Amino acid sequence: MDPKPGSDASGTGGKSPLGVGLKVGVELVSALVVAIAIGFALDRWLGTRPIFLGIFLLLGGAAGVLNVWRMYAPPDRLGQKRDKTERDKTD
Amino acid sequence: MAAEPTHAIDALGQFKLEPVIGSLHFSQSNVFMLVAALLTLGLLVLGMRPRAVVPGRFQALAEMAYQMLLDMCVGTIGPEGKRYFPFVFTLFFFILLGNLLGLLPFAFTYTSHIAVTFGLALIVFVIVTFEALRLHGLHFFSYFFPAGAPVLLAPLIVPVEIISYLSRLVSLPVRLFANMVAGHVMFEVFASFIVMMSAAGILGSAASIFPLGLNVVLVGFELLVAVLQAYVFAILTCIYLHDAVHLH
Repeated sequence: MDPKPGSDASGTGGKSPLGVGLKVGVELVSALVVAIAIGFALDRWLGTRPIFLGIFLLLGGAAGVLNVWRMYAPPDRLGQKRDKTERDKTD
Repeated sequence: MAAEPTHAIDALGQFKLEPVIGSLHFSQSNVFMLVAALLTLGLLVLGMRPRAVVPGRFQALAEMAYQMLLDMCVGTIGPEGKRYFPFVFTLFFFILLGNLLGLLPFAFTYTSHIAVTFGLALIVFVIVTFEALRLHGLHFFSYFFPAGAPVLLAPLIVPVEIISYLSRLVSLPVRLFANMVAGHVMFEVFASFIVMMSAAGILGSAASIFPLGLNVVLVGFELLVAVLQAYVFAILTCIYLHDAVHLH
């Protein structure tokens, strides 16, 4: 429960290939899941079965890439003030 | 976590909820939540009882935990972070103790249930959104359209930003849940190997030292994962709160 080893380990753990892969994978998939859920719900509500699902599938893919971009973007782009060191701490 | 001595490895049986008190909807998962809450309370109340200037071990632990999370809140969110410190502290210790208690033999890991982690993430999400709306009012919705982007692209950018915002609600719980489930499934599988190999005569018994050793290593790794995932959940909450307080 020592705070120091925990925070140190998180710095190294986040940089391992497996850590990066897991991180990126979770972000990509979660954006897709949300988008598909929205598309499916809209289709059920409006009775337009494949249309919104298709649109939101594409938007979800874009949102997933945006999530990953936010994680690894150079800090001065997109007006992002959150600094990269903090992002790196997350697994 | 007892391995079933059958031919099939029952890796997911350990996550089954069993009612503790008959007809009440009170499972062993809830028991461990209560234990975690009482342990956290005990650490703070009993740990801080001596109020020594030079802290003992217990008091030092309580003080270090307090200081670490306060630093995390203030460092990530800014001076406003003090307001959210109790929430982040509670969240961190609830998850940390859930992960750590789950490593004890015969214990149950409540953070290995997506319902629990999703519930926690939902609390975080609602608080973050509520705080952003309270602090910024309708200006909060400018979060979904970055300043300086061409207005023509708004129909494309706004849905993508909204999906990206909502995807936190999925990625936050899944990260914790997947880590916990993966670790405990690995424990179960290797433990089953020990039982199966020792059933295969003296040679198998001797060779079963390898899965046993692997499990010993895995305990250490899972200790790291337990602390790390609690930390990740807490710092991501802080980052989201930072976004809510400062908008971009």
